[in-house]
Amino acid sequence: MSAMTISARGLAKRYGKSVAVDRIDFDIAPGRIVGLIGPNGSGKTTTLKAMLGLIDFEGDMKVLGLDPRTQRDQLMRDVCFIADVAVLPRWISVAEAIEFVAGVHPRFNRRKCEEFLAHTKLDPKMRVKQMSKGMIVQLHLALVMAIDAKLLVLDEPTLGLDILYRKQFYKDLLERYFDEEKTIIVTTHQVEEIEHILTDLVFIRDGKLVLQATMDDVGERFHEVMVGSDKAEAARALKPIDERSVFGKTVFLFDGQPRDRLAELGELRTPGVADLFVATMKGTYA
Amino acid sequence: MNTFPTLLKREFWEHKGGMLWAPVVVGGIMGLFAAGSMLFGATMARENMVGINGVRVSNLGEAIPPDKIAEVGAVMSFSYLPALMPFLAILTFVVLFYSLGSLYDDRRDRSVLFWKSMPVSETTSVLAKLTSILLVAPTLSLALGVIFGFGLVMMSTVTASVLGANLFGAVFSTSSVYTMPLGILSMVPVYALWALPSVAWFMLVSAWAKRAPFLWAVGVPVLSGIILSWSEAMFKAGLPHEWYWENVIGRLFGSIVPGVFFAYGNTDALEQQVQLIEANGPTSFALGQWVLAGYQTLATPTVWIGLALGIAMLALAIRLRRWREDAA
Repeated sequence: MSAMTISARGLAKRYGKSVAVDRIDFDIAPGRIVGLIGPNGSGKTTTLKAMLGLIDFEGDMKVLGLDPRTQRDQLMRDVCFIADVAVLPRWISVAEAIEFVAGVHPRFNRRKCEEFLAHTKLDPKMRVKQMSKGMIVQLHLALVMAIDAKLLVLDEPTLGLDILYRKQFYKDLLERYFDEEKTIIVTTHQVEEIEHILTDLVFIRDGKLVLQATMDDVGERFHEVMVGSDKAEAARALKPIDERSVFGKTVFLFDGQPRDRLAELGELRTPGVADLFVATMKGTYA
Repeated sequence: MNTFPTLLKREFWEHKGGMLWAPVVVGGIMGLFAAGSMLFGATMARENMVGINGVRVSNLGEAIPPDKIAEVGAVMSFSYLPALMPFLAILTFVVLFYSLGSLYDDRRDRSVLFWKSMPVSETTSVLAKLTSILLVAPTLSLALGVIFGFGLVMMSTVTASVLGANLFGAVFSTSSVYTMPLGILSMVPVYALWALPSVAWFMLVSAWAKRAPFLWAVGVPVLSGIILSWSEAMFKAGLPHEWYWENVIGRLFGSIVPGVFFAYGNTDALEQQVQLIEANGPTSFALGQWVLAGYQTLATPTVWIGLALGIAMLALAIRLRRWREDAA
């Protein structure tokens, strides 16, 4: 058994002739918050579903030392997930949802859940069908955060929520839930909003991993330089992975070029994950 | 943590409408009608406007011969059975639509992803649904029906006493007024065993269908029967199409109707009962014989063949539930 939370070797999933996930390898250590970022149809959700034992797959994968295909029931004691927004059943009330999870989950802490809900506008008698999407996600998060799981998987947990709910969601997650024993894997298109909480970044494209790095590595490896037009040619000679124009200057994105050398060209910055993502995924839909 | 009772509770929350409110509302409305008509009848009778066999019913006490008073309790306790009919009709529809939606509805609204995020095996959750459909729903339905029946007995007795016939002693000292409800509730396991194959079929379709589980569940057997009958009409190959309609398709949909098992089971005890009642009226109804007849239907071999098929279909439904992705 490995000490890794998740360890995958040659993980692949085919739907008929189309390949959703193409023999990928990765390891995720405990205590990390991993952002799994990729364009639509890149295999993100398929990878997560495989991890959670919701679908069959080829290759090997161990989650918390268990095979999600055959040991799913055991695995779900230590794994929680919010797969997609608003999947709570419409008929259930807040009180019923709490009673249900308390009844079936050995690691659920009812008091913690109620404490969290006290900070929201949710009332025990309220039913899911009367709630806004943001409130449903709050309820789901309250249920999930009160479970002392080792791995939490979030697939687009804030899709379609307004910015207040989105910010609050990640704030709660970080302040009230996360600790060094836990691992969180999150996918989202709102990359800017989660980059400050991530410890690791994984980019996926066409079923393949195109980047796997810690955020520290990303800071060391990738640099953005704002270059005046006089030095633009010199910058291009260093083979930037992306360039764009801002206020008459050009911003170049470099992968693996030494800092001091780039500093001569102009103002140096650490690129945002969103810019990195756009640069890496260039031509995806072409 | 106690998984199975929690799962049963969850089933009840979701299906409270069909399992509790529908029978309560229907029972309530019928009760009001019954009370209203009795009140109306009693009022009219007291005003000497109505008579029975020429006797003014304001003196009902005198109209009933003393030797007949002892039989009143038996007649009234028999009335539990007709009082049960509307509840059984509701139960039939609840069982049909509950089982058809049981493994489909949550895939359609994607809440299956929430249920699957809990440490509950598919086997446990499917068995909880089955238990809820075959045991909890019928028990509730029959219990409510019996309460309604008891209410009718009460109302009739009160009405009679208003009209001058004090039947309280006669009615409430009749043991069958109390044993009848027990006899009725004791039929739940028999019903469950007869209905299991049908419910298993509906649950299998529910776990499998990408859309319209009702059409698949009804369409496949009916179409297969039509094809068989048509082939027989065309080729006269001696295909057992009549047997198929009666014992496969008929059983499939008939078995979820409570009490129909009496028709499929080969029971002498029941026939004797029916003959006795036809000859001598409801006072000759013997509860013990009737319960025995119910349990005797389980001696029919097709019950056990059906059960074996049902269990196989359930196993398949559990497997589908484990790997099936969301419905359309």
